[in-house]
Amino acid sequence: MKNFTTTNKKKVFAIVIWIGIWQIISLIVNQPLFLPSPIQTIVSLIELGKTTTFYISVGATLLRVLTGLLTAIILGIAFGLLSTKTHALQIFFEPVVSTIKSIPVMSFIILALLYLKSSYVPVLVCILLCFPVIYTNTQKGILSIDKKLIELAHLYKVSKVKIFTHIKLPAIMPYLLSAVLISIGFSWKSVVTAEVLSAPLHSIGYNLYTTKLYLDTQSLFAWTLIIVILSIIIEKIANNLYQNSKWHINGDNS
Amino acid sequence: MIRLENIYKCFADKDVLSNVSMIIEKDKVNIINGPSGCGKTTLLNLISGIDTEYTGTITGIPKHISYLFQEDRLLPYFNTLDNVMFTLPESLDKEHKLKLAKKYLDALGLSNEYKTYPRKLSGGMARRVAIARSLAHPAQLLLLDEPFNGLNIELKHIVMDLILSGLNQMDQTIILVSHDQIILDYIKNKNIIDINI
Repeated sequence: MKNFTTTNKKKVFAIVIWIGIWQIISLIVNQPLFLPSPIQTIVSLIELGKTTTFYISVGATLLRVLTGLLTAIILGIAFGLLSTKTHALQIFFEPVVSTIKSIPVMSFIILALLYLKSSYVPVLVCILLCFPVIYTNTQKGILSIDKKLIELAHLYKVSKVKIFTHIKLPAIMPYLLSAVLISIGFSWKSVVTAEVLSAPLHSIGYNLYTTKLYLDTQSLFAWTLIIVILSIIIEKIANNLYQNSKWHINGDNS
Repeated sequence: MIRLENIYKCFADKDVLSNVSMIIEKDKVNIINGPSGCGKTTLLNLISGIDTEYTGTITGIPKHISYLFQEDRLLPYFNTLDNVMFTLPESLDKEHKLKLAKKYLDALGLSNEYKTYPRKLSGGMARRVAIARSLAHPAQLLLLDEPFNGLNIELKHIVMDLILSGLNQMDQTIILVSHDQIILDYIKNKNIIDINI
């Protein structure tokens, strides 16, 4: 407990130091157009919070992020599992996954704009960006399964369901969680980037685009701060769910 | 009675078992004897059905087999009690499984470790959990590969007594691989089978 508190204090201290550095640089620059101070950013955020547009935009973007992320997780796990069934399937999927990995986000966005409504483009881009991460890590998780435990389970005629819940799933979970945590960051970046270009009316990306048009750097910082905060919250929720799940070996459970 | 006839087994062009034949007797502790690397574990793998790539014939293998492997093979994400219950037959209800698991864990001095996870167990304790798991399973054939590794003399006797009680009460066939001479001398009703390549 003592260590936990000390670590948290250190983290808060580090954040305070960096905000202090930001404040000092903004005072030296003394041009809010180029670098608004932390206080100006917070003031701008409070102003944004007074409008209903703010909440609608944040809600719409959040919904896109969650839809894209969950779809990518489901597809990534499904295809990841499928690819480890036979080597032929793995070889069959590999070119597609490698291509998706190497295509620039912009190409996806421009292409998707030709086919889809502007509000759906960010979701598709998010899926395409997160899918390879989940797919690859699911594969790695499956390969990490201890074959000797499977052998033991077969010898004792343990049911397939129990083999999955007691041996396979616990082995896959750590890989899957790390993939999900990486994907949360990816999903916010990809959704907002796609929103800036596709400009759906209710979105954080559209608001970012208007800050560029009006050279409203304070609002740009405020919107960015919101993205960072929401991304961290979702990451913390995912991490807590895993830490409290039975799949996590807790150092204190004895 | 289990009969093995003209068993040949090779790994990458190297003969591990060459023309091995033997009879495993019921109601006795069948002790497989032989120098290190002579294929004793391989033989247990063939009898258990884990390894099916061999030539020769094996007959008389019963349906329910329990196997104490040389490694402990404990599930890392489940506690001691769950580990023992994991391999018990699905036909048993949960209460019965719990009773069986606790009986063997208690007998092996692990009554305070029901909720302990494998990574928190010492080597000797982990071995005892693996022993409890293999003995708790109501099997007709019990295969034991070096069960006494990491145990003190008192525990070795407790384990051997548990094995022998299974032999008497459950009408089991037991195949034991061990180099522990003190324990081997302790067993009265035994059938020593030598493997020499």
